[in-house]
Amino acid sequence: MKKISKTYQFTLVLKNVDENTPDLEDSLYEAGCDDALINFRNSTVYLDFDREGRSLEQAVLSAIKNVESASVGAKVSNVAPEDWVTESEVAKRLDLKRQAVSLWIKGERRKSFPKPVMKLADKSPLWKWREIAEWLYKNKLIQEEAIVADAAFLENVNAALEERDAKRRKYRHDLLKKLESRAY
Amino acid sequence: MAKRKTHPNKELERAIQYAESQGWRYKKVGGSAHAWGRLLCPLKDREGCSMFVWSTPRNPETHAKRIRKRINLCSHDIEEK
Repeated sequence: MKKISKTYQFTLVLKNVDENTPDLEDSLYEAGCDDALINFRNSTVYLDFDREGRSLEQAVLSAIKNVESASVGAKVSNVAPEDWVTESEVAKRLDLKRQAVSLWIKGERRKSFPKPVMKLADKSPLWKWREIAEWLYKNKLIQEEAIVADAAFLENVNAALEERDAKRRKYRHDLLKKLESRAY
Repeated sequence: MAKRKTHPNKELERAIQYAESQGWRYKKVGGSAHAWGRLLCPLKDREGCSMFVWSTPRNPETHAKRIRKRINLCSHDIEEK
């Protein structure tokens, strides 16, 4: 069965290039980024994509490959939207009022909403979107299983991009060994 | 403000006019094959936001929507120096 393709919106943050890189826009256009809006802020370059694809993963990976095949030598350092979300970000992603999300969090409407995992002492602590997406699906508050798959992708893609750096990969690998070692 | 050319696509021209109504300025890009021009946000020093507008984006309608969205996300006011 042919899967219907959808338009996905996401942002790629670039490194190795900046506002003054000569030929930046033509190079990106010719590499296939004609469905992206090139933005700058504090000289950082980021691309807002509206890309058709069979899945978020396929759309984002193809966009990263386009960017990195461009002659200017750009690398993708980050993908947004990210996995860390505040209460109001959850409301925004689900197109709901913040109060509705707040009721879930307080456990007044449904049981066992995921716990926040970062910035716990802050006014707006952070949840993992992947955990929330799974909870929503399990509680039949969303129907599309694809949202759960997309969330798993967002949870891992930035880590995967970091892992491409050999030094960081080695550091993490060493840490992992220490964690697993009984002798430590 | 530099005098600008009209964008050949109506929808994009409207998005550009919207940008101008929000205090954004047009900047010419010399020698670009694919960029129509650049838009700079109201902030005068170049800590501010800016973007490239394509002459022929893959989908002019979504390109125009994205431009408007970015303008609305920019927090630099005209009053701010």
